[in-house]
Amino acid sequence: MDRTTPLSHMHETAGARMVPFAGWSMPIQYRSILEEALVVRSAVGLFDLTHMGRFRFEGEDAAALLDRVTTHQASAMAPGRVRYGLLCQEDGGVRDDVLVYREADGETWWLVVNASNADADAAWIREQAGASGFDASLVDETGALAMIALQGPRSTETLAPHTDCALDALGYYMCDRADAFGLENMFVSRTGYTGEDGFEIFVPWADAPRVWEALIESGRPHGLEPIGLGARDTLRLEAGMPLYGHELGTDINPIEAGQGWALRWADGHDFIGRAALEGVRATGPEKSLWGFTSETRRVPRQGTPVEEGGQVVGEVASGSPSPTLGLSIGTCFLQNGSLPSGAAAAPGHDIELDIRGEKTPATLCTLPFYKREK
Amino acid sequence: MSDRPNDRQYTHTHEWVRIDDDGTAEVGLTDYAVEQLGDLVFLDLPAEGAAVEAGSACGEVESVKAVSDLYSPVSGTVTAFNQDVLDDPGAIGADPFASGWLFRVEGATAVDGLVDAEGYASVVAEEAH
Repeated sequence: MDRTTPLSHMHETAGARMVPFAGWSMPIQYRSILEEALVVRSAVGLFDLTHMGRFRFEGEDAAALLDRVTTHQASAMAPGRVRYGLLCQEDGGVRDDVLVYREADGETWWLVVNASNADADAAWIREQAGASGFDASLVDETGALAMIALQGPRSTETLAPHTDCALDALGYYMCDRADAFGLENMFVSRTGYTGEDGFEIFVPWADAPRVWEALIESGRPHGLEPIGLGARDTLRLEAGMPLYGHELGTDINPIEAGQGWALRWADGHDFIGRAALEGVRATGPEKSLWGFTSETRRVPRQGTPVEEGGQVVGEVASGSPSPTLGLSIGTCFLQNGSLPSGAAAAPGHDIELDIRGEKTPATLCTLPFYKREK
Repeated sequence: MSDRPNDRQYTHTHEWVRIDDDGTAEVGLTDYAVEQLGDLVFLDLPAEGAAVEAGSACGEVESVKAVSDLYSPVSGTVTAFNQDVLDDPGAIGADPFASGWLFRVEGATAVDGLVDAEGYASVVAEEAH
């Protein structure tokens, strides 16, 4: 039986199509994936993200543990900051991608991880804590706190009536505690996975339905709609953000996936996988992630062969129609080195996608496909 | 659920077929199929003159999230396909039982195992369970 969130019955009442996702029953769409994506770009969307893993870290060595297991150097983060990082294997392959939060008190740390990896992540991090003899413990709060996101240009107006948090002062990738929805000390961050401005909040399990309804009410004049995981996937792809299992995996290292910026090479930052990734950095990655666009109305799905000069040179990682661009978009991994035609992979270079036997023209581009105006 | 037309038969793979006395047949997708697939983005339909075989794949239906085969409920020869829905697959949803038809067949003979509207309602109920 799939786990339910405290909002599951509200999704069902709203007519959402529920699907099993990483052991949870989650809304994939309320009406149309493509229309929901446009609501987030133009107004504001409300997301139930309770399936994601939420780990709180306690103990004197919490920062040292996070330094060891994530590629981002947690101990160098200022209080009230959020950073993107990766959990790597010794060989540099990616176990998961995560957000690291350092609370404003400077002492409490959080990781938010992918639902599909949450249990394995928790076990692995605890194992590392034990192996290094750190005084640090991981408290899994996933079942105690729901997670709700507002994403889109009207997010601030939607959240502001419910909180005394100074939202204007809360910059992108910052977090804070504030009174909100009549509750004390709520955890709020200005983060997201859509390429839009927005907020993510942790809400005590039993309060989640009331908070959800309050946001539906305050967002109504701003065009708010609940948004399913289908649109979230399209939005993150437009914004060039990786999805674990597509652009990231144990057989893909961060440099290949274009996430080398999330590796912190400061002296003494001895994260797991560092030695292997130093090697990749020195010799260059074997493959690289590219974006592509196509006029096709078909969807280039994961595993679709990518051809150039009549030969297979890689495969698709993600694909979707882009409602924002009005094109089909996707990402693919291409082997580095010269292509069969003799050319080098470059933005504007033509490739072919073998979509179920049909050779489909596409053009390479850099990521992201979409960047919001600030 | 009860407003699915009674003048036709349904498959377990969510197509409908209306066979007239002269052996011509019209084929489409059910409202349930359209709803489950979500945003339709691409259709591949059998060409005019193509022979289709009951129970065999004769095309593809693609949505943002998935691509599935289209199965012909009847055997026969294709006489027409619906250019409007080929151009705009999303238009099927407006009326999957009329303007959203997919293709027509002559010399139609049906496959065993087709169900009427009431039988199809139980197919849907079971699947949605």
